[in-house]
Order: sequence, then C-alpha cells, then structure tokens
Amino acid sequence: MKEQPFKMLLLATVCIVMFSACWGFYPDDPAIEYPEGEQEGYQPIYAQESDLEVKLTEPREILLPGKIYTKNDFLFLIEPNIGIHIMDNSNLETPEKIGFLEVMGVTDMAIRNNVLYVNQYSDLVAVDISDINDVKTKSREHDVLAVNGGLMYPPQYGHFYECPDRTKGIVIGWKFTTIDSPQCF
Amino acid sequence: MKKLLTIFITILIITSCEDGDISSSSFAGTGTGGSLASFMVTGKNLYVLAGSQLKTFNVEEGDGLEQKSTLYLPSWLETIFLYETRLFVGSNNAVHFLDIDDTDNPVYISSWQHVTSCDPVVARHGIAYSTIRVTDCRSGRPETRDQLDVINIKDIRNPTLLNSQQLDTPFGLAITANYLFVCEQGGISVFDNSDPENPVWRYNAKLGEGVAKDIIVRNGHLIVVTTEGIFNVSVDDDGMLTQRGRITD
Repeated sequence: MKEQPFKMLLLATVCIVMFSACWGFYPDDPAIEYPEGEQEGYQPIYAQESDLEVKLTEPREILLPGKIYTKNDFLFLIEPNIGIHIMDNSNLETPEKIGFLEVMGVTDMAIRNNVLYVNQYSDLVAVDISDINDVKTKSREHDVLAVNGGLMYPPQYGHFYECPDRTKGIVIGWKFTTIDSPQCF
Repeated sequence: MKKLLTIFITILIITSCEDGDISSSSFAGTGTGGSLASFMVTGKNLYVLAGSQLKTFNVEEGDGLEQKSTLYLPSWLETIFLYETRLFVGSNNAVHFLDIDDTDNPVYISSWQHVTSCDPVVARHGIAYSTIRVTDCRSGRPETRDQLDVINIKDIRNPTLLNSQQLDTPFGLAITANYLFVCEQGGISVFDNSDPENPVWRYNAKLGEGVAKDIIVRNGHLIVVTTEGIFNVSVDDDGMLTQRGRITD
C-alpha cells in the first residue's frame, strides 16, 4: 500500500518524459529560429496562369508515352506533364497525329459530350473541345486532387524552405537548392 | 478556261482537306480509357483517384464541376474500372469493390487483399482478373512474385481467389469474349479465356522494340501503348495478333 503513491509518481514522470519528446518538433513551433543568409533548402518552382492555358498546337514527337484514351475514331496519348497527342485512328493501317493539346501538368484524362476532363497538377480542369481548333477552359477546380497538402509544401519534411508566394505564380514543384533566409520550415 | 477549272478544282480539294480536320461534335458521348486509367466517366459522373481518395463529380450540363463526395480508402489508389454498377479500384495493396447505385456517392463493399504491388483489374461475367506486379514496383519483396489473380466476384461481398498464375513484369490488361490480353514480358500475352475461371496462356507477342504498357479493346481490335508509342493490332478468331499501323515518332 505504501508503494502506491510512488508508483503513481513514477507513472506521471514517465508520461511527462514521453510527451516532452514530442515538444519542439512541430513545424509551427515558435521556438524555431530561421537562419539568416544562404542555406540549403527547398525552393518553389512556379508556373504562370498563362503557362497552364490548354491549347491546340501542331503535332509533336512522342517522347514518353503515358496513358491512352479513345473516343470514336480518335486516340489520345498523354505525354505526361506536357500535353496530349491527338490522333486520327479511323484507318487502322495509317493512324496519324493531327494535333497536340498543350496541357501542362497532365497525367490523366476522360471525355464526355465534347468536354475534356484533365488534371493539371492538383487542379481538375474541364475543357470544351467541341471546336478542337478553339478549345476553351470551362472550369477549373483548384487543388481538388491535392494529396498530402498538395504542392504548397516541399516533398520532404524537416527542411527550411522558401514560403510559396501566390503573386509569383502557381507552385508546380520544388527544387532543393541554395535559398536565402528562409521563413518556412 | 481549263487553267481556271484546274485552279478551282485545286481550291476545292484544299478546302475539302481542311474539312477533314476534327469536326465539331466528334466527341459526343463517352470515351474509353485503358486499364491503368485513374479517371472514369459514366452517366453524369466523373470519378477521379487522388492519393487515397476517390472523388466524385457531377458533370452534367453547365459549366461547373460539382464535387459530390470523397471516399477515403486505406490504400494508394491507382486504377479504376467500371463493371456493371460497380467500380473496381486497383491500389497498392488491394482491389476495392465499390457500389455506385447512388452514382454521386460510391459505397465500399469489399476488397481483395494482396501483397504490396501495382495492380490494374478488369472483369467479365462475375470473374475479375488482376495483374499483380512486384517487379520494379514499391515492395519488391523477394518472396512475392508477379502474377495474375483470377477472383470470383459473383458474391461481391465475399471475393474469393480461384487461381493465380505467374507472370513476368505485367502492366495493363484487357478482356474480350474469348481472350484475355495482358501486357507482360515486354509484349502481350494472349490467354484463352473460353473457360473464364481458368485463363490458359497461349503465347506472347512483341510489338516493336518497346515495352507494352496498356491495352484498349475497340471494335474487336486492340490499341496498345508501349514505351515507343501506339500500335493497332487485330485479333483473329484463333486469338492470333496481327500488327497493323503504328505511331512511334
């Protein structure tokens, strides 16, 4: 019986020690001191809104074939992160490339009733292709396909990074490089 | 006069060529993706995989993409296949079977668990076929192997393994009434599927110099994407493949 309070004290101490292990490791910890001057860290790679514009261009060389999609006699081949090759496959012996749809950040697509649905990085975009020579972006859902916070955070935890700045464009990736007086961790 | 006529005819030919461009309403209806697709359109809905989430959008007329629901599944989701009123979602550790009777709100029914791998799935007449690739995938555990799982899904709440057979570095797959086509060994393996519970390997055909990645069946022929580009391939009644045109440049 006499040992009981001691056991309780020991338990409490163990608990406190265990929890204290968690303190100081959160990214928003005010105790973090942001270093002055040049260091190694992550820097956002920006694209401008105009870079994300979906538009038809001349046929291009196939570099790294991605996913495929068919619609009637047309065949779509994704060139990951660059765009979509459009092919006329009405003659199986002589399929031909008829255009290239620039879609920066694309990895997959689907078509329904003259509307092309594509991803651009974490955005989901609906593009009216009823006149393929004059494609029009109908709507864009920002970051709706984002995974783990999307591209607003660097790919790896535990590094200082340059805070993303929306006025510089849209973050489409990160590079590990020399950065100056980072304010994010 | 003759000269004028020639010019007129030339102009006519040129204009008719231009008309040969993609005309409007060429894209009415719904298209078809390969077995590695992570986008699926059916009815008034668009289903998209993002990480461990299945996002459902309503894409009926109008300009908007209305998000209807998000379903979280305990996997990294990779491929989506429509089977009757169900969605089959291939992932890094299971094939998940979902009900879309309520098309805006997919509901989890059951899963077929497997080793950590990459695994598209197709199905026909109550049997699902899933290729499990460990080679160059995320686990690479030596005791596991690349294989084709044949799964009985007649009772969707209780999927059961009928049999498995060894494959070599499989990717996408496609199914017709009599044959199962699997991208593996760099080419396409043709399985006789006249007994749907026991696909029998027939042979493997190479296409060009690249590695075959995925297949779409369209009007009885195959469209295959390889690391070089796309190939049209016809299939005869005996399951023999003949390469037709291709675009690899």
